[in-house]
Amino acid sequence: MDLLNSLTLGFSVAVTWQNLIYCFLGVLMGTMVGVLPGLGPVTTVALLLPITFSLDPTSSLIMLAGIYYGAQYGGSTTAILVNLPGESSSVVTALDGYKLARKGRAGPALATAAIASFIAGTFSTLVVAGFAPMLGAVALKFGAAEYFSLIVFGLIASIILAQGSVLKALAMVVLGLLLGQVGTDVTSGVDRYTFGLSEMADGISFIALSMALFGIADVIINLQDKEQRSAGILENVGSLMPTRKDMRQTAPSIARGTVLGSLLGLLPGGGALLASFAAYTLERKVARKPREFGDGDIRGVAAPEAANNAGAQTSFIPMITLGLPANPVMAMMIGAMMIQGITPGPSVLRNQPDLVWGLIASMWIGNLMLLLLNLPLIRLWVALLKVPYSYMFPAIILFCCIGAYSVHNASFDVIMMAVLALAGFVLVKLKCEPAPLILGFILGPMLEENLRRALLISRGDFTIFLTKPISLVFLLVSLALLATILFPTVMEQRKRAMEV
Amino acid sequence: MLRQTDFISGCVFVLLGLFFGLGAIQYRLGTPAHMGAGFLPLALATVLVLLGAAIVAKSLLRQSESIEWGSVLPVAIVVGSVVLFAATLRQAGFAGASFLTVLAASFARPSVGWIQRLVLALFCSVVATIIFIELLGLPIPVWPLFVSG
Repeated sequence: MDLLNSLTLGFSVAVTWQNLIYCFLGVLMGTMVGVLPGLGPVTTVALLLPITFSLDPTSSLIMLAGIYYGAQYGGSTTAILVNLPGESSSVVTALDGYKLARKGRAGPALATAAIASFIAGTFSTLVVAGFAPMLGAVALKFGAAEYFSLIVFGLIASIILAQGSVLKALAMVVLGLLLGQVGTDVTSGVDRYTFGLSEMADGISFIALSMALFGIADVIINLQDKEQRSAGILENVGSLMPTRKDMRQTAPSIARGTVLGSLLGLLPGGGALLASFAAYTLERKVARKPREFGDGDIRGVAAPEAANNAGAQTSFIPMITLGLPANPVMAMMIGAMMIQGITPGPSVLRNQPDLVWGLIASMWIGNLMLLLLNLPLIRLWVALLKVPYSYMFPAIILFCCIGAYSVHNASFDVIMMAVLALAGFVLVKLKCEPAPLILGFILGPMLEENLRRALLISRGDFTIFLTKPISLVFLLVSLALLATILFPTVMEQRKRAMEV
Repeated sequence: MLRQTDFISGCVFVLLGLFFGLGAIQYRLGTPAHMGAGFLPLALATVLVLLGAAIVAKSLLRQSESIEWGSVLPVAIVVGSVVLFAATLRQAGFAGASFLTVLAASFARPSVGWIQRLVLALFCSVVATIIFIELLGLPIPVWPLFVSG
């Protein structure tokens, strides 16, 4: 009954005219930007983040969440119609989705993606509603030592599950943690790494950093790609309705994708990306014959789409309950909360239940809006797909500039963004993924505060992290995860799973 | 060697680690029970140096991809247009700075005509002014100084 009360509270917050409008605007704008070729959910959320600053905290989170799954869905549309997935999580959708589109079945593929996303969204919203309070209650018992070890675990787990070289990813996390140290140390009042600049006393602006890495640097890399990115756009969507056979065929796939995605979304570093890859792999193994994966099998669209939406949704759980971001988008949500003056963590659930439950309820409403919005507006999305990159990128740059400026109304932050973008560009060229850096950056201050508190309680005794059982478990699991790096077989598996 | 991603990135991490480490020892380290401002940065910087060294060591054992820097022009124009926004915002106002930034940035793709560039810059400037100044109320003067006085 508690759950029912909480959900009632949530809907009473989410179903106000104001929040419904912001949810709708979020979903609409998220889809509009997410549909643009080459713009993934991370970039979309970064670009649209500044628009939410002036709203109250609940509305701004509702809108951001809407932007996130809107962008996710927009990315799938692009993947199906142009074979240009904006982000790695819709790579899998492109495999079969684009083939279906070429066979003239773009409509059913898009409709299946929308329906699968909606079903998965509904289920995973319930998972979030069920799990979040439980996890939140446990998290409230965590002391500083447990929290420190949890953060260490979260950071390490997110690396293992991410792409690319593990050593480099580790180094990027540590670099992010160090960048998070810039600014005035809250405890001692000492200015660290500010070069005597008063503008740096608040630290590096999170918005400037994320826009530099996911906006500007991304633009530079895209511009350097010589080949024109507009492949054949399939304009003829045809009939949207999936056939009865499609529905019968995809129902089990949607169910499998939903469950798998919900589970994988909970893992740090998991979220939508891992979920869609895993769902596709699973589907290829267990789906009934005839299997035509890679050649336009509608189940190859249904399962990953269900999984990535479910994963995107459940990745909110660690963010809401623990204040731990599982992926860069969640890191940005936390950044947005901090700009609103909320410290993410278990206390939010206790002190501001209306905010948390309003957000959860809005997830379902947002998914419903997506379903109702996307199919009728498909012509608009197709039109947007045709915007050439030459017109798009100057606008992206302008948005980033305004966004970086608007946080503190400081031109200094814009200059900072230019410097960070250059650094981000170099790092990408050195094959260092920027995502771990963002996670480290957002968790740096939390890590320091909990380390400091834990050691203060234990009077400088480091064994406190080993004598508290929960803390010990987190550290042991982290160690075990790190150890797997030494065994190449696991890494091979990981690589194969990513390649499909 | 100098063209390999792993070797260079390892070196970059070592250098950054040294930078942060040397900075950290300027601050009070304190004791574990009473950590000073330099405690965690020094620890993290040490880890970064070690990780960087490990990446370098690995690169010596096994060749990695070589770095493709790509053309310099887009890098310079994009970063330059961002700096331009910051530099002109006071003088040219929000609308003016937006116009100049978009116009400058558009040169990163040479294949676009002048008229398209100007129309795009005007369009972006108007839309951004409507969204950020009119709707969201950013406290920035819209017009250039010579217009608003």
